[in-house]
Amino acid sequence: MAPLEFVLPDVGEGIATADVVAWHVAEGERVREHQDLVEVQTDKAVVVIPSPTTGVVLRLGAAAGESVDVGAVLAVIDCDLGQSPRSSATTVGSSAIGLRPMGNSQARVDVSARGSLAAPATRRLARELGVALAEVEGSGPHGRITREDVERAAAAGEVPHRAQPDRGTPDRHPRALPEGVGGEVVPLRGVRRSIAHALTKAWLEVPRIIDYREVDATALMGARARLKERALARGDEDLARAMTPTPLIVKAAVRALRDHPYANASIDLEREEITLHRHCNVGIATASPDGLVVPVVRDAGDRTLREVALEITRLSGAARERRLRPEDLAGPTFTVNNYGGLGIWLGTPIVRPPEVVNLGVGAIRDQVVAVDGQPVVRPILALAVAGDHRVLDGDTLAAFVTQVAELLEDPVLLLEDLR
Amino acid sequence: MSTLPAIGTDEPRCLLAPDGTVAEGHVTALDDAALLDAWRAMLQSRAIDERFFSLQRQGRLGTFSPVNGEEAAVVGSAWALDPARDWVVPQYRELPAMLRQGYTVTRAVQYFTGNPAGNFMAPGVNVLPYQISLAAQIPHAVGLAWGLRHQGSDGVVCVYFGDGASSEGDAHEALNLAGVRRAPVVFLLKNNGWAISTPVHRQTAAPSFAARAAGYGMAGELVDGNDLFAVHDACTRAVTRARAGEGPTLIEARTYRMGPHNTSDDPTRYVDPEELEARRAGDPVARLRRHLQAKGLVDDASEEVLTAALTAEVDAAVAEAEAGAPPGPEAMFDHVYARPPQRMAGQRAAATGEAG
Amino acid sequence: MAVMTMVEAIRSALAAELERDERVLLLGQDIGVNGGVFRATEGLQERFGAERVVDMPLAEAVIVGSAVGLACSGLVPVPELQFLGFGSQAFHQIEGQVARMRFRSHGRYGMPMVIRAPFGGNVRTPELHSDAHEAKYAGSPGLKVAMPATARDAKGMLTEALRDPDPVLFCEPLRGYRLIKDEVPEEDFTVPLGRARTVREGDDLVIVAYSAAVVIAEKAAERAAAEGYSVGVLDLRSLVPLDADALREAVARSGRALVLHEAPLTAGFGAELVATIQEEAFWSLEAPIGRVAAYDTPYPPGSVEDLYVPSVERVLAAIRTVLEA
Repeated sequence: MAPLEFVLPDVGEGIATADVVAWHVAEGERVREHQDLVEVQTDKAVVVIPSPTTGVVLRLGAAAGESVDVGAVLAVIDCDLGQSPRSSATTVGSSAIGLRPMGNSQARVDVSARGSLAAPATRRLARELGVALAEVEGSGPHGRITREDVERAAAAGEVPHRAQPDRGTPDRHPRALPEGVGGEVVPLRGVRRSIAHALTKAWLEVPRIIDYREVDATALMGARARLKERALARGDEDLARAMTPTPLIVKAAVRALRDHPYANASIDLEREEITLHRHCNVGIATASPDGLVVPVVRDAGDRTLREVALEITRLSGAARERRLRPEDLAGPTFTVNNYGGLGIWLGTPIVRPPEVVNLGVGAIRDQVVAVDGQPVVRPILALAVAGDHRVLDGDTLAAFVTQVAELLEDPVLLLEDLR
Repeated sequence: MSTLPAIGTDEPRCLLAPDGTVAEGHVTALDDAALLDAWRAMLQSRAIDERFFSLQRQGRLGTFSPVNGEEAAVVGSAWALDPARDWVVPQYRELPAMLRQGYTVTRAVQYFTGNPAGNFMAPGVNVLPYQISLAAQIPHAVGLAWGLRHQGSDGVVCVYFGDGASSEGDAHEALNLAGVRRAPVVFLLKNNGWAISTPVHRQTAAPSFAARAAGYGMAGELVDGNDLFAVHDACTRAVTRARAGEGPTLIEARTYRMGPHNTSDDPTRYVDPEELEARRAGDPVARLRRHLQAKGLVDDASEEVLTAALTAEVDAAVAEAEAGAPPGPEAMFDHVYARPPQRMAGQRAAATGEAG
Repeated sequence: MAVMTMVEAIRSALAAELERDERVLLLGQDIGVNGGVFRATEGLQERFGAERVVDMPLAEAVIVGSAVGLACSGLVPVPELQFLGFGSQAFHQIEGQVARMRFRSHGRYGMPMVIRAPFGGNVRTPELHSDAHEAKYAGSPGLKVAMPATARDAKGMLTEALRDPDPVLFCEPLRGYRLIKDEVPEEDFTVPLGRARTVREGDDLVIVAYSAAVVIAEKAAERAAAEGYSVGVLDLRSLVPLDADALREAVARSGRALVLHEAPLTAGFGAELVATIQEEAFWSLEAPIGRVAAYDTPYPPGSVEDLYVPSVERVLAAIRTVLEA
């Protein structure tokens, strides 16, 4: 007995994947060679695939309704003795092709003469005579080095012999800088390394669109001042300190997310699924001594404004003091990045997969705007909301941002569904 | 609905009716032994179609075009030939004719698994290789027949092509030349109703393909291609004429492709199921079965035994083909030239790792 | 030895092989009674009969396609395309069938066939008669492509091609049929394919050419010699097989090369030659390799064709450019 991995063959000249319609056998059943095994749907046709062998079905590679790629295991069959056919899993031995391996020590590249102008024949002569072209003055047209130049240099012996400089084994992590260049090499470690890897993935993976909005923050600033004042009057200094515009923006965003579930979602391309999250865990982009971290306000929709404000304060304090716990960082479904404090007006936030939105908040600054046709000065907040275009179309992202902007311009609307 | 696709008004000649009865007064040239031999070839073709389809679905065989439905047209014509001196020039749906000439099922399995050895015709097997470029083989057949005659042979060449290939320029040029040179060729045009999804009335406006023969100065015949006796009779007369130096014949065998064009094709996209059902009534195998059963030459039990034996033969051929070592990189270079240019010799050495 | 024109040399090779090998059979348009539109087969039907020198219907695909069948039957057919430009009407048979029948049949059916085809310009023909399509045939694996430049080579290479078990496209320069004349041995001899001919040696530059362009190259080299330059000429004789060794040696000697052909520049065979030279002789190069070819336009009408086909003057200008680089 020998288990045979039967992989899905290309049944139709260029099929890449097929959906399993129905199995004609179950795990543990015996099958005969040529007996119908499974019905699959390709983009060309529905086809029945028979068994390539006689034996017992050990495992089915995919359930009905699931898709299988060509070359992936469709079923594992324990073949009866003398029954192991040459299956589609057999690969043609590409190793038989006599290609020479790269990178042996004979093949080092001498780059010393790059930049020098010389014909190939002159280059060969220079190598043979041990003349470094980089140090030869060219007398030919356009400063080209001629054979005579090389011969003269060799005869004069004025050039050090270093025809084949030994540069040692090529090094993937060079520690030394090129000669003549000052500086320091800093290895990527810790948070910086995580940031580098995470953002590389984000940048390579996410087709990003950004919705820029200007929001009249007059009412927002008023509300924030009123809430702060009230907290101080109550002697709640913690809350007064915590009552920045950020918690209000988080609450407005969370409210809008309830109406726009695709902005509070994650995408899994491998499984080809979008998950619409029931809860809203808001990541708050925060500076730490080691770099940017994104602690999470869990269930921000179920918390009061006060709780959100205090939690943001706690998290940013923990970040500053490197006291964030793993659970503080786990499971964001949506991110708010308030870079206004850095003086940035319009940002370009990066969406961090699997999340699909990063809401960037710029500085609030006084601007001249037209109100009822007249120029007036208003505090204007610039939003830059980045969305993953694979999940969000321009109009779905815009609808979300429009609602956020409305709530920020008129925070009283947040009372609408107060419980 | 007729069991055959109709174009225009010409009616095909029929000798063996769908109910298995023979036209009054006709005596087939096939004696009982030859009849049983033809019957065996038709059942073998069905067994091969079924097994090859299964193997293709398992990824053990490449693209394959089944003969299904055209067995009488292929077998009836091939049985009119003398394999010792006559030649078969196939397209790619005529395996029973190639087997009669001495080609083997093992080679066919090799061919359809992408092994270049599969297109090799052993010496003495008078067959040209499978031809995938439609109609390209028709000029070859004319040249082959002309060359045989030029060298004193009385061999005849039977070339197969379809209603679709008949639209190619090569078909016209070859038929014309054959008429001019009175080449000993039997042009066996299998009109199976379809060129993949293109119905025959989109290939021609003529009343029949056979009618074209007059324009080439040769004999033309329209026969029921699902009728073994009619195809065999027309081909026998065409071969006799050709052997006698009386020139070529164009035979249109009107049949029906009962399966897909090939393993990648899904005919449910374009074939009306009612039409297919109606055409199934013309099934050439069922027709011959009725005749042979009425004559008492076969019965259900003997057919079952024969089919099992034929399937076992196919399985043995598959096992033989699969047991061989898969071709290596030298397969790309063997037989490109008899005297390869130096450059290709270097490429071969690089690809195979041999000293160059 | 007798002096012959190229067309006489071709005719004598055909006659000798028809005489020597009864498997040889010529087929084409107007080749019988008329002796061919260029008289390359004049008198041959009279001498060998209408069954060996066969007038064919006007249909290139079946002239070549029936030759495939004739070869399968054991004969050595010599189909003639009246002009290479009309070969496109038979390209599917040449590239798809003739070139690969041996491969397709796993060695059972070789194609010992010579497809003769006049080509090339400066003779005021109507459209499509003069096109130099050799590169697309050189890119058809299984086929060999012969391009003789002298009467002697025409006879020796045609005899060789007729005896070669592989199919050979034998391109004959229209302009050279009568203009090219040289001494040709009367006895049986062959010139191997894939062995280039050094027409003249040169230390400063080598011109690589084939067919009638070799004549242009020679004249340009003479003019350059008058200016004090030593310019060599290499006649490739055949494109497939290609004599890479000769290319390497010629370029190693001179350090400078110029490739020349009558076909348009883009994707012309000159591109293959430049690539081969840089593979084989890069470290010998003193200057970028020059190319002189026809322009990337359709072959033009007669009134301007002398401006289109590379002239001695254009080759000379290119020689100076490469030498001065």
